[in-house]
Amino acid sequence: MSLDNETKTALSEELADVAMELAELSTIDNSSDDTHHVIQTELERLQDTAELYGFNALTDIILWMQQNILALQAHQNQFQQLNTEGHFYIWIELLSALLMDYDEPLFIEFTNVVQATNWPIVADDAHIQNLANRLNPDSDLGASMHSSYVLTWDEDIHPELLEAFFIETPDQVLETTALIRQISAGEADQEAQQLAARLAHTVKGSSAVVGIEAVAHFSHKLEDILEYSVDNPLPQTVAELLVESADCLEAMFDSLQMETLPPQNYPVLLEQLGKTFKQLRLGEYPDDAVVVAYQPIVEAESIEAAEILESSYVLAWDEDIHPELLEAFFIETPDQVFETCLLIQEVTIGEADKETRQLAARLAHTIKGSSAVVGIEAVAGLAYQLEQILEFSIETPLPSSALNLLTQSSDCLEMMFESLQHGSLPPQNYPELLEQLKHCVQQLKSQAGDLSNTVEKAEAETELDNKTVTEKTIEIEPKIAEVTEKNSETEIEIETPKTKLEDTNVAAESLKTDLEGALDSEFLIDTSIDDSRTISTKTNQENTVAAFESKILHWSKTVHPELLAAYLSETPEYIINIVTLLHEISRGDINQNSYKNAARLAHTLKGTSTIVGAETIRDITSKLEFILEQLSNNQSKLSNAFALLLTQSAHLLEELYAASLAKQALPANYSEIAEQLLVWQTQLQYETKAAAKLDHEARQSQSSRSILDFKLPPLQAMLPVVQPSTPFKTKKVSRAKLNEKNLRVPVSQLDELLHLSNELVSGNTQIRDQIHNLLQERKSSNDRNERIRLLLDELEWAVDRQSILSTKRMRAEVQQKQKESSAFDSLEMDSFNELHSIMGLLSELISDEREISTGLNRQLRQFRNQLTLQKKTNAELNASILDMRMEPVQTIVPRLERIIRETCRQTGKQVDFTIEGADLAIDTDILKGLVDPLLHLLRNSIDHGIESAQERKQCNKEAVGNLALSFVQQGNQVLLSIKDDGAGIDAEHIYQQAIRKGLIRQGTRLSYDEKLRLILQAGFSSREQVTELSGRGVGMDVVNSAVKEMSGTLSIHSDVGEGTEIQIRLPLTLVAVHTALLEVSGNVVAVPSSNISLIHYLEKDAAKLEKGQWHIDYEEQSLEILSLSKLLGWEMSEFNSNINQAILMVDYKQQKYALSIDRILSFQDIVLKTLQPWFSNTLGINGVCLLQNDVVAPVLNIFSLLQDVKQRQAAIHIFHDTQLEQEDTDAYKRLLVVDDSLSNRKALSLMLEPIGYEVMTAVDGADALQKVEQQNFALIITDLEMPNINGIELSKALRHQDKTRDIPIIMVTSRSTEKHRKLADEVGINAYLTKPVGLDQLSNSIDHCLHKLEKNNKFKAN
Amino acid sequence: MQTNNQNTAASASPKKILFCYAISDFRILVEIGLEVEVLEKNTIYPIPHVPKWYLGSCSLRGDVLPVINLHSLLGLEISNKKNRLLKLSHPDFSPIVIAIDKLPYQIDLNLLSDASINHHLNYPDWVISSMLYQQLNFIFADHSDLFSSLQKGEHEHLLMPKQLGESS
Repeated sequence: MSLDNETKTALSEELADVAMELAELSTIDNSSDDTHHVIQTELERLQDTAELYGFNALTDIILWMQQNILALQAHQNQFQQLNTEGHFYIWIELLSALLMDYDEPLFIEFTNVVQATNWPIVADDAHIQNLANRLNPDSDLGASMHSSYVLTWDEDIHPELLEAFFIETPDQVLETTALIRQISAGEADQEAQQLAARLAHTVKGSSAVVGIEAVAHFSHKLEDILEYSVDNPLPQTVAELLVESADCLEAMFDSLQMETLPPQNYPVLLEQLGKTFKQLRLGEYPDDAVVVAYQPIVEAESIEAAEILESSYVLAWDEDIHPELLEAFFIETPDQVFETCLLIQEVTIGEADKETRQLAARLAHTIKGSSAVVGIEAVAGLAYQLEQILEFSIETPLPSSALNLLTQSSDCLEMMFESLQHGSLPPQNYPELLEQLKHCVQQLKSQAGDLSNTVEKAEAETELDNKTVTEKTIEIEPKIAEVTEKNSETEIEIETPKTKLEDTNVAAESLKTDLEGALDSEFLIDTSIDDSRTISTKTNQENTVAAFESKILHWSKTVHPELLAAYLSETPEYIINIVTLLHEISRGDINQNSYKNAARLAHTLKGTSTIVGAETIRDITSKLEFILEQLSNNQSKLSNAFALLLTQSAHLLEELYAASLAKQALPANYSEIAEQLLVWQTQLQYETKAAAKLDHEARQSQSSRSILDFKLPPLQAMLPVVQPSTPFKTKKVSRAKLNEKNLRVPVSQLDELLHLSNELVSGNTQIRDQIHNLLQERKSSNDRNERIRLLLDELEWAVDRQSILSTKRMRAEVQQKQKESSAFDSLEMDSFNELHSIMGLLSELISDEREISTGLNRQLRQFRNQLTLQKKTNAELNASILDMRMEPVQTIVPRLERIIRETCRQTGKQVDFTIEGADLAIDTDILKGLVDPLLHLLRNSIDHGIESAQERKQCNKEAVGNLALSFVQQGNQVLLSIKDDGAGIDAEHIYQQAIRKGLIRQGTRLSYDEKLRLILQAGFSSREQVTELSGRGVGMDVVNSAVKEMSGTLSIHSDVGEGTEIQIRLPLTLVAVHTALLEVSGNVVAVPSSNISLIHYLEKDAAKLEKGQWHIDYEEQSLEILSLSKLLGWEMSEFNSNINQAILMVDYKQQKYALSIDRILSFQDIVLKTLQPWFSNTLGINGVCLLQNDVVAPVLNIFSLLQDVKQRQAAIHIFHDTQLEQEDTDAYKRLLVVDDSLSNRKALSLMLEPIGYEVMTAVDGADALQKVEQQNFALIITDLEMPNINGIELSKALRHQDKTRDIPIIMVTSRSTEKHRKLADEVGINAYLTKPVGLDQLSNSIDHCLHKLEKNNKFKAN
Repeated sequence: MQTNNQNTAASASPKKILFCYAISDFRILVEIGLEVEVLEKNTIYPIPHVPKWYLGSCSLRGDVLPVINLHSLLGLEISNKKNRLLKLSHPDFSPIVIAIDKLPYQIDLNLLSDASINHHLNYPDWVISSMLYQQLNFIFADHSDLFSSLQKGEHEHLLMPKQLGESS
């Protein structure tokens, strides 16, 4: 930074003063400690002064000196020597001199002194040079140190913009580099990677705005690689490059802030980054590179441990296991292990009941499964053996040896998990134990072998009877059936009529025989099963339908309201989750836990639904739970029929819940699906029992066989004909960790939290301001003290002088008296008078004051540092709260998929629907607001866009249409696109329809895009017939309004025959917005940064006045400067081109706009508050925000304001209703002012614009005629005498043409003679005004003319 | 200053005392159940493109409140003098602020028993009745009706005095 001369002088004097003090010190024989104290105090004083002026270079030099002096303390001799030789004061003196006069000899002397001082903390030549250069950047001595690139900002950048950049960006850089280091170390999760990329993007943007191209380019390259790293692991070499680049980026910012030499490895790194990204993108990066992937810390530790400790067996997971899977495993499984061990303990001491033993076996099974998934074979093996023994224990008491083994094994299992988690040595008795367990299992099997057949047979028979009875009695006693389903093992005595039981036994016998036959065959196909099941199913179906016919869904009347509230609060999420899982399972997109999670959810839903008496949901979830649990044990490929049934069940669950909420009738397909589920449930029960007969080897040999791969013609026949299910390629990413506990919090509470956090930020800012004021005051106090000190010096001199004079006068008699009274000579003892004493006291006071001041300054600095930390914490708090409001798009995906299925079913069309970016998190308000518009758009795309299969074949398209929905984050906005490959929109057809419906006038000129946008008008529908789905004339206008309400924009692109794409651009959040605070017409307004493409620093006299409007040359085009004040309808101050000023550049719909403002105040993150419920859709306003000092500022939507301008300029007369159109016409009347004098044109414009007219200007009659040809004007005001074509000729020409014949013309001239008036009257001038003309006179004339015109038009129309 | 009219009314004597605030020569009575608070030294910040009745926004203890220009709704020009603001809190609506001309004061309704009913002005629907007393118009207003109409975005002319010949 450069200092002004005044500051330089002040600083230089301060330095010289300190040098004097130190020079004096060098002559006094003080102790080392005292000298050290004085020097440090003086240096602190200098540092404070440097800090006050914000002169970092001097601060750094002093700091370096202080460090040296501190280091010298240990070498007292050297320290004292340097002091007495005067190195300290010479140093300071030279600094003072350098600050004022920076010339070559002085610099050499400075260098020599520094080198001769022999400082403990050595500085090399470059360092000294650098310090010197920074001390006086105006000098050109540093020119010898060339940088290989330019690292500076645009010279013409607005200072406020630069200040904002340096306030905001360094923190972002530090955050980015910290994240980069995490990424490189493999410690960053995906979220951190995304954040790093986003931050790099932000740094890039802000650097580009202030013109620091080097940083912008560098950040751009970093952003590319960081974005790549989000989805791809980085090779180690790239990770190292990233770290180096992070260092470089930090160094660049240090250089920018401290004005030091920029890092010289920048060009090389920049090139490397570019090259690396290219290689990564093209997959050309060397394959042998080690890949850095996110590893939870536990893994890193244990890997390290595994390498150190030698184990007798391998206890580790697969190296290529997905980190999230591993994380989930370590979250979930240790608890399960702990629980299993506890249960085993109960089993071994004989306290476990049957249920506990079952649970223990199931848990062992789960551990086995999950360990196998992550590849920890040792644990899986142990758990498998444990499961076997525990399963035996369910029915048979275990021998004591087995119990003992169980205890040892459970200990071993626990130790194995401890080893896995903490990287300790795994238990070494594992191999031995495993062998013992295997042996034990074999023994148990052989013991049980003799009884096995009998027991199994009896069990199977009992089960068959029970199941069949259950089936038959379900319509008689649903509760009994429920209990039976809950625990098929429990023996329940069911009283059924004998005849029914007999019938059931016949059916059961038949089923059993068929099943046994099926098990022996290679494929489990048996039509007799189907036949018998069909019979029973049909009977059940009829009865169930009868039972539920006309049944209205509702909750139990006796349920407690709080219970119901809790149910209603949590169930939607359960439903969404289970529906998502069922869809995933049905399309084969599963993992190890999909079935289990789905079963768990079904279980939860069953339980909660039972409590509130939601019988139908309980019924379906109960069946689903059983089926899913069975499937989780044998995850074979599902048959199409079963996959379809799962999809339908998911759909049914959603419908059931919605119907229960709305107290609607039972969905028609309920009984059908319930029956199908029951069939599958029964089938699986038999399968399970049959499978239990087989020994382990037999089961293994058959494991590859799909038990679900049945051919079930009757079942399929029952299913409705639906279009083929197409895979929905959605990607699910959960923001919360797997199995993490969740807490439901109302959004209003989050908003309140945000409000409080915002208050904290505001308070923090105010304290910072107060500290700043305190420091300023302290500076004034210092100055005052200095003056007092100077005065004191003068006083001392005066006192001494007076003292000397009086001494001389009285010397003789005093000496005489002394000789008489004292034994001392006058030279032997100083004598002081009262003035000397006061002087001494004053000096001490000043010295004390200085010390207090230094201490105070130190404390203030600490306070400021603490506040900076607190500010950072506040920012993190704010960000965390805002993050809590974000929801992944995934949460609405099931609803979207459902509407697609529904619409396909209703229209008979086939669609391949894909969703991309479902993991993107959006503000909850926006996401919820998006649902309805999206449903409309998706329905429209299928109903209007995608053709039927037959039509598509005729167009040489695939029978199945493509519909893609994508969510892409672009900065702090989300771009949503719905693209289909259907018939497209015929813009011409839309246009004709709009004319026919009276939405636009015949002959209205519209561009292709504008014609397409007609579908957004209320009441527009291109459908000739109203269908169930569309053609009602509502929808797109609602969509458009909803998007606007969310501060978004909607655009349509369509090609006939090829398809349509609708893009919606929305902010990621409506709550927190990064804004530029501006002053417009004396008011503070906030403009979201996303609305501003650039802030252009307009130098004075750079704007040009063209045809009455100010223009700027920008990117080779001349842009009219629009007044933001005018757009806001506020008082418009005249644009002043004589000053340097900031102009907002806005890109909107491929057009650039330049907006003038008063000034930029700052950049700030604000919390948006809506104007609701008082207003919902105010033109150009997103809401308001509360700034520090309780200032309220409107948050603008510049795009909306420009859209309004554009609409007016385009003169599209779309009249929704006559009233609106009338208001519009009244509000905006375009006038043409024709005058050859610029002053007159300007004066008339300034007069008319504030009263609501849009004023265009023409320099003469010829120019006016051209303007009239291009645009319509309500009225023309013209001068009489003008070059080329004068006012009379202009009027004649206008009256001659049909189009312009009726335009009222007012002549404003200095000619006041009757002759001129008559002439004007003859050519049809409507009003004749003589200069000077006042506003009232002119306004009245205009009103009169326009009123008359309107009357004539009405008359003509009648 | 903060007060609750309900409490006042509850503890009031049979004098039937109500608060009223001043908009030019109109004295608008504050019905029971409405909580009023006089705001001191508050700045009104203008918001662009809002109806005339929306004077702007002001802040109060971290909240942003709308300021109503009741003058415009009564067909009057707002005074250029420094605004006094009155916060009205109705249990069914979010708080709102009104720019008033004088600080609210209490009035005994019994005094109005001798007042004449003002038939000369065609008031909007949110004004229940009006009485002329000592050359001042005392208006019995239904503020909830006013707030509800404002929130519904009813056209401004429906909230303003009716023109002659306009049917109610």
